[in-house]
Amino acid sequence: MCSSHDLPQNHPSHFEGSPSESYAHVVFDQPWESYVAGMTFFDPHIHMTSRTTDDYQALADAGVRGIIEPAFWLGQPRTGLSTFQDYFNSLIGWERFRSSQFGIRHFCTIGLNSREANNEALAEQVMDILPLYLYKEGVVGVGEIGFDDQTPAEEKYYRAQLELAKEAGLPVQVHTPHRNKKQGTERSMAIALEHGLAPHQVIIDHNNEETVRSVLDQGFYAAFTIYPFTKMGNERMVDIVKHYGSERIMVNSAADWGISDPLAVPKTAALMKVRGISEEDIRMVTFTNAFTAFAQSGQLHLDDFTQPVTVDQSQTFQGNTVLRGGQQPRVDKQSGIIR
Amino acid sequence: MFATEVTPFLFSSLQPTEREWLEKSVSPLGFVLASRKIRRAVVSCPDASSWAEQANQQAWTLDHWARVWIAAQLSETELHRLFDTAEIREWVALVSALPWLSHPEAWLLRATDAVRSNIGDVLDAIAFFNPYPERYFTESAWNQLILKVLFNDKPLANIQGLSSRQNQALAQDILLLAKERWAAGRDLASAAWQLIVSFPSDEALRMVEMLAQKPRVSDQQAAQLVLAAWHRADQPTNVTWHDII
Repeated sequence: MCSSHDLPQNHPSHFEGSPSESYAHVVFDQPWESYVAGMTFFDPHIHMTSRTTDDYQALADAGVRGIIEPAFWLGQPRTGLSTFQDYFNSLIGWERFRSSQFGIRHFCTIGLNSREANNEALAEQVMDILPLYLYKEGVVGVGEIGFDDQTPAEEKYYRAQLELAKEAGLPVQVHTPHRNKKQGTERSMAIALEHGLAPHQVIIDHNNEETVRSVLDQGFYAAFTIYPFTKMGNERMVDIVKHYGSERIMVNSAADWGISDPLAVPKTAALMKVRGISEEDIRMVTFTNAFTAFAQSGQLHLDDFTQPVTVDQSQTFQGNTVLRGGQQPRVDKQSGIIR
Repeated sequence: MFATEVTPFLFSSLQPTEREWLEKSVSPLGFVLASRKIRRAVVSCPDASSWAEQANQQAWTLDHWARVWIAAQLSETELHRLFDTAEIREWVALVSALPWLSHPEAWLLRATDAVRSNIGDVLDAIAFFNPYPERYFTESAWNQLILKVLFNDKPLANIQGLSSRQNQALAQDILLLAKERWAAGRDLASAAWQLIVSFPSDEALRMVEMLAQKPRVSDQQAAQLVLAAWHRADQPTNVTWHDII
């Protein structure tokens, strides 16, 4: 695959590059943040467990008001049920609190990820506790589930979790594999349909140029992960939206323990603006579509996003007579002085 | 028994569909589902009982009421399972239910775990307007609660049993905390000084005299209240410990 750094062997007399390259000269001439000032975003896939408080501050500053943290592989295989349980607990407990301190609504999807589905003895135990978590407040789907190596064990637990989602009336967030991606994506969709899920209840994640058409044509939501080197870049994302429009398309960062960017959603919005995509379409792919898809869980309400998180907290303990956990005091990162 | 006594108030506050659902949902799953099935509206309980006082002060919502009502009827095993898998609002409901379970003293570790929590709402649920710490905490657990509330700059006045559970060790802890805060150029909540009044010492006197020199008015008032109690100053007019945060 050619990249923009490759020097052409010949000098063509007319432009032969990708659409991105044709307007590669259209760049940010102000800081990217200024293009999205006042806009708000919803990142439907980000692993905050692996991120620092600096990232939360940066998300809040960039206008990200809501996030979904899918349950995933922690980089190190788990050896027992308790560590799964504690991880699920942190997604509905500590991480949700940490996020609220920065004014960001934190939701999650719960599931057995595809890699660890291959440890069948452990997978069976995890399946037993999943129903306990799927009905919790703020759990907006079953995820991220699907294929990694596309083994029989992965298929078995993908199917079992589709059944759980159907029973709980929850949307499904499907991880598509890095290897044999196109085939894995088709297979994931076919199995979901076979289990009687409606396409609009399923969000197919980590799409690329090769998978998007079929996903949209079959009526599924198509999520794109803007993640350096291995997934989508935001210039390619702009091309996708120019080509396919904004219906049922959403972008996310999937920021995690790898080299990734938690600000991928607002940065993509900024680039879309610079490259002439309408504000309405930007809003669709960086907020509305993700919201609509996961609101099918009954756990997302638009009012939640128009009020500061602290207002909601004070509803539990009427008034402000009780000092809340509240917002974290701001730290000036540029200062050499720490008080 | 809590559930029986609360039933008339709770059922009369629910809509018929909510009530119908709740009556057949006394189970761990019912506890979890309460937030989906019952409204999240604050209700005030007119009963003259200590749970009504706690509930009204903590502003329990209807779904919270339902959760406490269910929790009070579950087995110990079921409750442990719920604690071990609790989402934040579930955890808050469980902690607020502790004084109303059938053997409250058996739940001391869950109560002190709530004090250890850094999740603001969970700490508040055990610390504020909850009779559990006053009734069941050991002296050291009680002292940790007070120190944690002070450390987090939360309001001491909302803790039940502040005067009945005063003790010498806590008074000493307050003096040490004040010294540490002052050395770092930080303040301590002025209300903390009421906890040393019953335990005068030369060291305490020295520190209260320093307190009287602090620029903050509430510190000066606190110092005067302590000194007056020790007959070393006039009783201040128009100021009591209730006025000091």
